[in-house]
Amino acid sequence: MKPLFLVAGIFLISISSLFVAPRGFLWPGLGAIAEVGREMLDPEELIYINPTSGAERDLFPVIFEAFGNTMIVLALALCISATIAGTGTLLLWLAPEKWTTAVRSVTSLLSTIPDVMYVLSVQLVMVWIYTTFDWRAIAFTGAGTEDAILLPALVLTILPTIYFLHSMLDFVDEEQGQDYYQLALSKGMPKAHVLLFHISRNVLVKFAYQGKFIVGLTVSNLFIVEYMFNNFGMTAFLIEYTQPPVFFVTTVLFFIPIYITWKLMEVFVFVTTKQEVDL
Amino acid sequence: MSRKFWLQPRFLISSLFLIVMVAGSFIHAWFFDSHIPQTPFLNSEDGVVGPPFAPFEHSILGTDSDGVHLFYMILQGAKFTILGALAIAGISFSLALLIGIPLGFSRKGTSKWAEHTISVLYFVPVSIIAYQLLNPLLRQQGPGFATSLTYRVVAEVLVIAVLLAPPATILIANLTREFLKKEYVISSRLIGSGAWRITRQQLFPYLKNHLLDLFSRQTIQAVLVMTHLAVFVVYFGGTGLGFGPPFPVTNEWASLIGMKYFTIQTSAPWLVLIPLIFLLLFLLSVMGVTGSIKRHEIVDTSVIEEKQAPPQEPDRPFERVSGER
Repeated sequence: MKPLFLVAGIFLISISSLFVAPRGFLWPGLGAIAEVGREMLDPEELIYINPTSGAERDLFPVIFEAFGNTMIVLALALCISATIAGTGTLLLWLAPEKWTTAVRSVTSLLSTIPDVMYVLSVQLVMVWIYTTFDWRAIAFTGAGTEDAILLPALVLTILPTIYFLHSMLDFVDEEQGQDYYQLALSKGMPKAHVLLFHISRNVLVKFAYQGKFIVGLTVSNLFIVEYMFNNFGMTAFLIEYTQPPVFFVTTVLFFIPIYITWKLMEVFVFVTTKQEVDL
Repeated sequence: MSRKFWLQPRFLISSLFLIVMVAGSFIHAWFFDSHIPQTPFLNSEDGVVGPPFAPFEHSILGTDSDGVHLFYMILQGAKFTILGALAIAGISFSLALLIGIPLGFSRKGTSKWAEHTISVLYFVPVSIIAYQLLNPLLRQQGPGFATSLTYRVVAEVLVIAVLLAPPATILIANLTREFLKKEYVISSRLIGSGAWRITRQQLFPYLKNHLLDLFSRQTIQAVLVMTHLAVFVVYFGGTGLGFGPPFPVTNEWASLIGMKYFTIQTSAPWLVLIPLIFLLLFLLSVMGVTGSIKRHEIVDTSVIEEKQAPPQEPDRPFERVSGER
């Protein structure tokens, strides 16, 4: 039932551009909305129009290429950032407490900075390396046929890493006040063992909810990264070719894998902790 | 508010930055008609030198490749950035309060379908929706804009504020619901205080710190959406078209970042770095103001608690005084 509502919400968003014109807000009439719905009934026929050249092309085979690019970048970034944050939490857990406090205040400061800044500064550094050492480490912008994948993914890693690390440290800190932690320590369990096998299990539910929020944030950053790296991805269809049916198809395509991931996460949480979550 | 509060260095510096920037911007607009000087070339010892000039070379913050002085652009944009972002945050914050608190009080809670539809925001970022709604309105087509600057600014502020409101509303509703489960609230409801009285007398003091946090978070979000829109060439107050590339009609800071973004690959990276630094200073000042208010409140309440601390445990009135806990 829930996916239906979500798709309805996506439909509302994709027709929202019909309500605005250069003169202001207006009511487009039911006919225009019905037209969008009718066009989407046969997706094979959908076309996108290039705004500068006015050329019309078929949407369907080409969108999968864009979709692949975007999804690889997103998945890579999320995996790397979760790994870094997890390792960081473990290392800080073993390090003196002063370090944890320092890292927490730094991450809370960094999370207020607009994400555009991270993209900008990475590109600045890359340009600087190129101009001073004449060495191009990795392809830093997409150009026609070749798309940069690794660098965008690495840039996209920054923001979720900060958020993942911050919330992990917060959760672990909360658990430290619980009785079972004291008990485990007094029984002589190693600190790392307590974190890996007991605290991580107890934190998993909270972390799943927080993860949903962080993924949402990463998606919003993803579009910026893709746009600024000039990659051919979903952003092109959302920003440049903004016909409502194209927007709808793109967003639904995007929605399916993320939704499936959440459902798998629900199952995983249930299997490991016997707790039901509703993501 | 005591005198000590006003003299906190963090509060002083933060509020001074905000006030000076906004006041300077308005003075620039009223008395100098927002005039932005331009230096197309300069005679120096080595002959004629052309722009771009680096910061401190000719003018204090440097110029762009047409010789337009960046300092005055920043000054002109200050009022739009600061007041715009604060207006977006304020409106979405008030919407969240007005809808969230009654929602928290109501027994049924949020209806399922509304919650499901709102969770679309996890898939489609607010900036993309804002782009959909604002792109036709804010981008100049033909010789001029069909709408006035006021109309565009008000429309943009309202659209972004409404888009940012739902998560904040849900947060406030959840906090209210949690608050209503507290013992002292249940007892005062049993005695017969109405919802309005509880809200005013108990909920607001309880929520105060959360609300301050929420406000600064909404401001950060507002700036974030403005920056994203600027990257997508939808500038605050309208994207003008001229002979060169599209330009922001208001010179708002986030829009300046969006416009000058491609200069990082040229020899004039300060054009994008300086607006960025100002934007960060703005966010830090907002956080400084809310943070210092919050800290002050905490100090204040602890003083009151110390003064009024009764000799006995107040919430265990029937316990033996010297009994074992």
